[in-house]
Amino acid sequence: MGDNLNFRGKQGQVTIFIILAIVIVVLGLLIYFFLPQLKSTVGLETKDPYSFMRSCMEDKIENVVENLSLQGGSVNPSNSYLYQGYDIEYSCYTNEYYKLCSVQQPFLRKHVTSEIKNSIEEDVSSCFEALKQDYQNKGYQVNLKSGEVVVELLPKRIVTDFEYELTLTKDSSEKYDKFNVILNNNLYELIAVASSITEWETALGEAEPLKYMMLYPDLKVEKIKRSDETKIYILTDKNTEKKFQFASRSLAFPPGY
Amino acid sequence: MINKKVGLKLFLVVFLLFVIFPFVAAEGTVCCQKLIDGNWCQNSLAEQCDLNFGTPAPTSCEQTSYCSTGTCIDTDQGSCMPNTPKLRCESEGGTWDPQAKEDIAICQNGCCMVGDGVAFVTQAECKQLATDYSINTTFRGDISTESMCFELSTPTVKGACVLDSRDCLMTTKEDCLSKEGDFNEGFLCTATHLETNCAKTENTRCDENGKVYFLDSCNNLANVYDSSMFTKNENEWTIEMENYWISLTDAICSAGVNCGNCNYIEGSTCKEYNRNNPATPTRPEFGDNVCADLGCNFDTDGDGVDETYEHGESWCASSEGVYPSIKVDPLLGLFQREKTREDLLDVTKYNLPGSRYYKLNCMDGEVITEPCKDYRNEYCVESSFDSGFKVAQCRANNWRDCYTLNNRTTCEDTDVDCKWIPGYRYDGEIMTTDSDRNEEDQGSCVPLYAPGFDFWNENNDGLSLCLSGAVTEAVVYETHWAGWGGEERDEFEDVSPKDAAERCLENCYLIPGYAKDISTLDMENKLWHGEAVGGSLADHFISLRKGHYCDVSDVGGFLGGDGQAKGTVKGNTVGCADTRNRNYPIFFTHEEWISSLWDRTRSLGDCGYKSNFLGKAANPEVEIVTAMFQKLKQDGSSKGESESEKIYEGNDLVIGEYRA
Repeated sequence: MGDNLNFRGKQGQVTIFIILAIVIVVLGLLIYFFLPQLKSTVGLETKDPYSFMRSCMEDKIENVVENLSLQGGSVNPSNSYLYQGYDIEYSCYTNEYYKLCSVQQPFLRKHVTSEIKNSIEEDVSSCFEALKQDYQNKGYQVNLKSGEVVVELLPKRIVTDFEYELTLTKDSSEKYDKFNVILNNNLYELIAVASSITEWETALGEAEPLKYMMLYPDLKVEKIKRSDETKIYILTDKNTEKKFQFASRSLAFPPGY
Repeated sequence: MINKKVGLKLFLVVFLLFVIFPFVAAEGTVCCQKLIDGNWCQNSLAEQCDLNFGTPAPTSCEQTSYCSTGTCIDTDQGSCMPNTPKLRCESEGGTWDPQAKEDIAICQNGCCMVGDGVAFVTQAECKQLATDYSINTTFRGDISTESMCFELSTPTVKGACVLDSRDCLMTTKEDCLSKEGDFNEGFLCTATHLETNCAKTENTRCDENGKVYFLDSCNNLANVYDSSMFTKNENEWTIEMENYWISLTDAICSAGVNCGNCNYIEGSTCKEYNRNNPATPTRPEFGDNVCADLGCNFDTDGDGVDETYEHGESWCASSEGVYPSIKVDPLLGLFQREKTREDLLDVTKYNLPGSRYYKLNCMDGEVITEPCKDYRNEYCVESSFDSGFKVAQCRANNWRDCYTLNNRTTCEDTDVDCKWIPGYRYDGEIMTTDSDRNEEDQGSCVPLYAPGFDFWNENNDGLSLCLSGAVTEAVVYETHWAGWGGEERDEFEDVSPKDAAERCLENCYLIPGYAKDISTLDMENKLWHGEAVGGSLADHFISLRKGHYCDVSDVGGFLGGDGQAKGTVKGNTVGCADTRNRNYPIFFTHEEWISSLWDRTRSLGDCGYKSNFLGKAANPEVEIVTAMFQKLKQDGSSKGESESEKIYEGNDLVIGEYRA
C-alpha cells in the first residue's frame, strides 16, 4: 500500500516536470518569436532611424503647428491681440481710425514655414543626438552629418525634410538620408484663405465670411469684432476641426469722434 | 398806465449732463518704422516707436519713402500683396512696387485650372500650384473675374477603364492608360457591352462634390443617385433605367430623399441618413445616403418657437436694447416700413447703452453669430427677396455726419442715419419768424441710432458729445416797481408759480408747468393768430404779456434805454411796433421744451437719463436741470446774490421752493 503510494507520488512528480518542461519550451519559443516586437513595444530597442526620427519629431511639429495656427502664424507673436488666452498676431493693422490697414504679414505662408523651421531646429538636433547615442550604445559606429531642415506647406499636408546623413557601421555599413515627417494638415488651404481675407481687409476694411463658406463647403469662417475694432478671424476645417486664427484692424471707428 | 420796467429778475436754467473727464487734445505724431508693440509703419507718438528700427520721422508714414505703402511681390511664389509698407515688404524678402496691384502686370489674376478645380491667382502662383499639387496647370489670363473662373471648374473627363481581368474602374484616360486598361470615355463600368465584372447595386456613396452616387459592385461611383433608376425586381427594369447604368449622364432630378443631386450653394449636401438628425429625417429608398438639408432652426424672436432659415441666409438678431429687425429694401436699402423709423425715434427703448447689433448666418445647419461693430458704430439691416430668402448686413452707422446737417430736409435724407429734433440748434441761433416756427431750420440733427461711448475710459469723447446737448437760457420776468397784484417787487419771489409765470417776459417755456394742458393748436389759434386772448388762458400759466414785447431797438431799449413798450397785444401784433411783429418762440409749452431737450440729449449717444440694455436704470443725476434765481438791475447786471437749485433730475421734476 505504501509502495503503491510512493509510486503514484513519483508519477505525479514526473508529470509536473513534464508540464514545466513544456511551459519552458513554449516560453522560449514565444520569446524567440515575439521578443523583437515586445522590445519595440516597451521601448527596449531603438526603432529604425527613420521611425525613430518620425516618432521623436512628429508630436513636436504638430504642437508647433497647432500653436502658431492659433496665434496668427507666429510662435511668439509680437503685434498681437489677446483673445481667449491666445496672442493672435495681426496680419493687417492700423492704429488709427478711419484708415485702411497696412499689411503686416505680406507672405503668410512663407512666414509660417519659416516659423515652423525655426521652432523645431533645436529639437531636430536633439533627436538626432539621441538617435546617435542610442546606436553608439549598441556598439555601432555612428557617423552623423548635419544638414538643413526644410519645411514645406503643401496641399493637405506639411512635409518636413531633415537633410541629415546618418551612417551606421557594425558588421556592415548602412546609410540613411531620407529623414522626413509628413503631417496631414490643411494649413496650406487655411493660409490661402487667410491671405485672401487680409487683401479684403486692406482694400475694403473687412471681408465677408459667407462668401468663403459658400465657396469652400468644408470651411467655417468666423469674424469676431472686438471693442477696439480689432477683428478676429477664425478659420476652421469642418472635417478636422483644425483652426487658423488671425487678427486685423482696419477702417476702425472710434467710440465718439 | 403800464409800468416801466423797473425791476427784472433773471431766471437761469442750466441743462447739465455728465460730469466725466476733461478732454485732452491729441499730441503730434511721428512715423515709427516699428512700434514697440511690434506693428510696422504706424503714425504714433514718438515714445511708442521701437528705436532699434530707426529714428522716427516727424511726418506721417505716407510721406516717408520707407513706410509708404505699395504692392509687395513674392518673386518665388508669385503672390502680390497690396498696401504693404516698403520696409515691411523688404524685411520679408519681397520686392516692393509703389504701384497698385491692379497696375502691375505680373500681379494680374487669371484663372488657374488645377485638375478638377480652379483658382483665381497670378500666373506665377499658378505655376507654384502646379508644383504644390504635383499636377499640370493651365493659366487663362483672359478670365478677369473670380466668378467666371469658378464657372470654368469642370470635372476631368472620366470613363470606364476595363482591365484584362474584366475588372473595371472609373478613372481618367491618362490613369487608365498607365494601368494598361481599355479606356471607354463616358461609359460606366456597368455598361453591358463592356462585359466587366461590375454590376449595378443599390448602394450609394457621398462624393467629394457633395452629391450622392450609386455604386457598382466594384465600388466605382456610377451616376448621381436617382431612386427611380434602380429596382430590385428584375422584371421592372425599363430601357431608361438600363441606359442610366450605361453611360455617365448629368443629373437632372431635384435634390431630395429620392435624388442625390445635392447642391451646397442651394442648401443641401450628401450625408449619411440618421433618423435623429433633423437634416436627414427620411430614409432613402436605396443606400444609406441622402441630400441633407443645410437649413437652420433658430428662435430669433424669443417666442419659444424656432424659425427656419435656409443655408446661406443671414438675418439680424434680437439682442437687448436694439431694434430687433430693421427691414430694408434689397435694392435701395431704404426702410421697408415707415413705422421702423418712427419706432427708432424712441430713445428710451432702442440703441440703449451697452447694446449691440448682431448678424446671424445660417451655414451648413449651424447658426453663426457675427457681431456688428461695438458702440453701435454699425447696425444690422435685413432684406428679403421675393423667394423669402433673407440677407442681412452690418451697416456703418454714419452718426457723425448728423452734427453737420443743419436743416430738417438734409437731416432726414435717406442717405444719412439721422433724425431731426425741433427745438434748439447746436449753434444757438434762433431761426423762427413772426409767422413761422421754422421747424425746417430750428432744431438739431441727431443720430437715429444713438452711438455708444467708452465713458469708463479717460479722455473719451462722451463728455464733449453729450455736452453738445446742454443749454443755458434765461427767463425774464417783469415786475412793477410798486408791486403788482398786491405784492411789492422785492416780494416777487414769494408769489405763486402761476402768478410768476404770468409776469414772464422772455422764454417763458422754461418755467415748469408753463402752458400746461395747452395744445399747440390752442397756442396758435388763441395766442398767435387769433383774437385777443381772454382771461381763460391765464389759468394755463400763459404770460399775460403773452411772450410779446417790442424789440428793444424799436422802442429805445428796455434795458436801460428810454424806449417804452406800449400798445395792446392782439394776436401776434403788438401795438407799439406795428411793423415789427415779434417772432415765434422756439417752444410753446414747457412740456415741449423739456421733451425736446430730453430727446436731443438722449439721442446724442450714451447721454442723459435712460436705462442700459439690461434694463438697469441710470443714475438720475447724470441729467439735471438747474435753476438760478437772480435779481437784475435795469442795465441787466446782477443786483445781488443768486440762488440755484435743481429742478429736474432724470425724468422727475424736483421743483420745490425754487423761487423762495
